[in-house]
Amino acid sequence: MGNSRARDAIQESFVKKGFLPKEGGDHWRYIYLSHDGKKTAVHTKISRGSKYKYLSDSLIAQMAKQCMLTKSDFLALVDCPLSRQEYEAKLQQQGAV
Amino acid sequence: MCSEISFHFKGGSADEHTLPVDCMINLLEGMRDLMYLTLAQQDGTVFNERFRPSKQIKNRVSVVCKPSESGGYYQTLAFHPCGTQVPLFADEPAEVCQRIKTFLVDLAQNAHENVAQAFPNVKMRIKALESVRKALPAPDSGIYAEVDDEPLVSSKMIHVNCSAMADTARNVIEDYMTVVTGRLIRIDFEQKKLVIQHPVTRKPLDCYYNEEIEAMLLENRRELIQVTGNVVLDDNELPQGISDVVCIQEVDLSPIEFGEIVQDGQRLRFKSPTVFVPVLDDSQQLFVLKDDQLGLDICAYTRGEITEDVKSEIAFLWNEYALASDADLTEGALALKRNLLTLLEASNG
Repeated sequence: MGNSRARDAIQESFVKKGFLPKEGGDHWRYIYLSHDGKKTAVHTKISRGSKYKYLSDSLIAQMAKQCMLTKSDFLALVDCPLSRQEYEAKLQQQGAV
Repeated sequence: MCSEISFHFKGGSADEHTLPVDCMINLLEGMRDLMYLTLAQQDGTVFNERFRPSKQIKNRVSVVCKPSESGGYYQTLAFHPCGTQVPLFADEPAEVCQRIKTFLVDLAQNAHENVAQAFPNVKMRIKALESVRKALPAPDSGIYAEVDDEPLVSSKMIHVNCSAMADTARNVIEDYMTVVTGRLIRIDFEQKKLVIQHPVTRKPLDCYYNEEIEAMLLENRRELIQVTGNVVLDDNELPQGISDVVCIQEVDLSPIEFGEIVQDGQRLRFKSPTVFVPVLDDSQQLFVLKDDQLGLDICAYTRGEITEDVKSEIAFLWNEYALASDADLTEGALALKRNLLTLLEASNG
């Protein structure tokens, strides 16, 4: 599978891991909500275009930066091993929450 | 039946009643090409690799410029019989004009099925969409346009927002096509074939080009260029071949300046003009643009896409953070809200 991932799977994980989905325009946007339900400045987006059904390694790398994670941590967030609590702890360490 | 289409340019230099030469050339070339394609479609012509309008098509209808008018910058194009060849039927120029208007309106209204019906052949459709995209001001020009349908009959005026049209054209093209960036390492003038080297795989990828871009290719020899076409991927999801090329362009990383953003009817004005400089990511396939103060961190495959993304992203940030109640935001998000309110303001026109 390499580092590319299906868009649907990423979207599903985002919602499970505390991201608030926002519809609008050409993209689906996601804002990370802190454990007390407040909007953080961490946000990312996924294009609705049909060529983005699978997100390439380069796009995954950029999304990881937007989520303030390394690429391997981002893949762990999407694939499930990294829990919401662990993710928030990583954001706290960086002063993002 | 009316045989004129008017383009009303606004924003940027158009507000001072001037239009950059490139903008005008692109409008005229794009609309002329769309007219040839519309005539070819009417005749049932289908092309495979390249579309070259026949002499018979070129001599049937001509598109001419009427005197431009101020008020922004107002340019009317009129469709006339050519004079050298009798049109297939008496009102052919008006018929062609009407078909083009309908196509533009369908595009602006996201009527994908009508767009597909206008050009059932995918290659012709993509070529027509490319012509429309070319005719409209570049997203980073600060200029936008509206199309006035039948300007002489005010009750029938249709104001079509060209950026909506450009968005749809881009989306429809993207459904079929992929962009690959590579270093231009070979040009075969005889066969009109070029070879790019993919930055990650180092694999050479060849494709065919139209003569009109030869000067740009020479200027960009050994530099990165972008090819849009049907890309065949290998098992590692990396490009191994490109066919049906619809667009070849240079990689333009010059600064993009914004004074005002118009997005979905919302106007946001930068309190002082703001410049963003895009860079390429490590794979050299994505344009990346970051601005910590505004909370921007976006990427896209082309300069046009990233310019549009800046607009939609800033409108999103404004609505979600600048307009949010302080109680709903974390410290980091509050800082972002303060920055947005310092740098931008909502504008009524």
